[in-house]
Amino acid sequence: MATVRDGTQMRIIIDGYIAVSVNNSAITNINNSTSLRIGSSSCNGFVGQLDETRLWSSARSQCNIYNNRLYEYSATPTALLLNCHYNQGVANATNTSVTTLTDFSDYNYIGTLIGFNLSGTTSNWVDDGCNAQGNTSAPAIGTTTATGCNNYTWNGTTYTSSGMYTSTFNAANGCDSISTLDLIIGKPVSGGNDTGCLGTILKPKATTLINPVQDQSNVTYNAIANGSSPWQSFTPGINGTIRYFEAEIRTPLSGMAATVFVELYEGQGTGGTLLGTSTVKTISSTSTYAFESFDFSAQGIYLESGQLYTARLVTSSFNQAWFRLSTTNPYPNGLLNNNASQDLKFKTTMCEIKWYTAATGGTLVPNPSTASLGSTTFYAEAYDGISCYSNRTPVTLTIEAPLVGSNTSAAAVCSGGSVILTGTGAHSYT
Amino acid sequence: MAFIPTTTTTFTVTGTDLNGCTNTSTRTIVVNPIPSVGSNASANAVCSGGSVILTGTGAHSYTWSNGVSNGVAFIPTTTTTFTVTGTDLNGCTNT
Repeated sequence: MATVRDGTQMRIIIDGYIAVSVNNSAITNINNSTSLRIGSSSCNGFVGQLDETRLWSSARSQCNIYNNRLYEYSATPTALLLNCHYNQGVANATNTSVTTLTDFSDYNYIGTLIGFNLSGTTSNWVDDGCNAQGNTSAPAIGTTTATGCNNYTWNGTTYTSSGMYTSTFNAANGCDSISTLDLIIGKPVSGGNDTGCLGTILKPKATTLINPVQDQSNVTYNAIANGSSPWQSFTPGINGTIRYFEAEIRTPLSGMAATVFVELYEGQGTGGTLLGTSTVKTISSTSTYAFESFDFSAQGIYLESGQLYTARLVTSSFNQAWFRLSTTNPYPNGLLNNNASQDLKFKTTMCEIKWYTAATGGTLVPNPSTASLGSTTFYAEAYDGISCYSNRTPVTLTIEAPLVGSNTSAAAVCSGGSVILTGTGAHSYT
Repeated sequence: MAFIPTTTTTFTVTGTDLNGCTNTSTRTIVVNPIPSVGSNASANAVCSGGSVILTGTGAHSYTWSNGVSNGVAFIPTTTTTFTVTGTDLNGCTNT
């Protein structure tokens, strides 16, 4: 049940539907100089059970009330003045010590229970019997997962980068509802040299100076301090959508493990744009540099040739460690030389090869047949595992018949004589 | 594997490579009949010291047992059964 005052309009809403709506210009404001009492009356107190009490500083729409009527409200917007869940005490047990009601709004009010026995099956904390208990999310149409190449348009808005987006839709009951889009944006391939396969390591050449961008102060060069390392920058020599990022880590402290992840930015560190964070992994201490693979597969981050990117390691507990982008050889102080021949190790998923019967459109042929003689042109297309495809490359498959011959032990025999026939030039004969 | 053809036949072999592609080749095996060999004797019985001429028929060349030459008189020393083997122009033989 909800009551709403919207200007001079007063409503009582039951189960999300307006039960009473009146307009009364004589409404007077109340002040908050005295305590708010719930269920209290100068006549008779409320007899019943309460679960979830919310008080808002602004009028809530019927749709909003309808959509949230079965849920605990986990968000704490400023307008939410009071947010009590009543999930306290032990149902029908002795709760004499649980005498206050917790408010989960940002204002953290503390309610005082007055006149409760706090034991037995009445006048006590009780089981709410609500299926929605613990469901702390406001209802929504749902989460939609989508992929796009370069961009993706959703509910009239075009998105050009991966991420979680929300948008408001009209629900079936006519109310507005919020839906979430889990979007992964891939990038098309250009240059034609991104032909690695899943799980292989591409080595894009670092074509520009690769030095740490020391935009953090008061940190030991290339050592982790305050939970994150200085930046390491790089410029890839090819385009590619990476799923994994390899870096070398050295931790000088023995017998110690930590959880770490890598942040990858376009541009110089926090002055740029955070493209994504790797999944968190646990590493043990290492006395020498060791390769670690950081997983960005959820985002599928696209890197462009010639662009500056920076990365840093974020750690939970190491107070000193070294982090550098992987190369084939170690470098003092974690520096990568200004050497165009040095390779960074990326893994890309522009990899899966699909075969089609035509340069455009056509039919996907998972396994071109080699059983029929003659020449057939198929068109190979690389797929990045997300949503982007390369141009198709024609490949002609020619199936030639084996040069089958035969030998005989005798070209002619007398009646009753035996012969041995032998086939040649193939694998099996009939 | 050896086999015995009964009549002149053209055989076709189909070969299959590892890709599943096939091709064929043919081979004709000629089956020649064996000759029907017979024999004649100038006399089936002679007195001791008498000569006999054995002659094979139905083939191209003949070989007699006991060293007898076809169509050449010889003197048998005792009662004997002679066997002739005839060979035709295809090399097929019979007795």
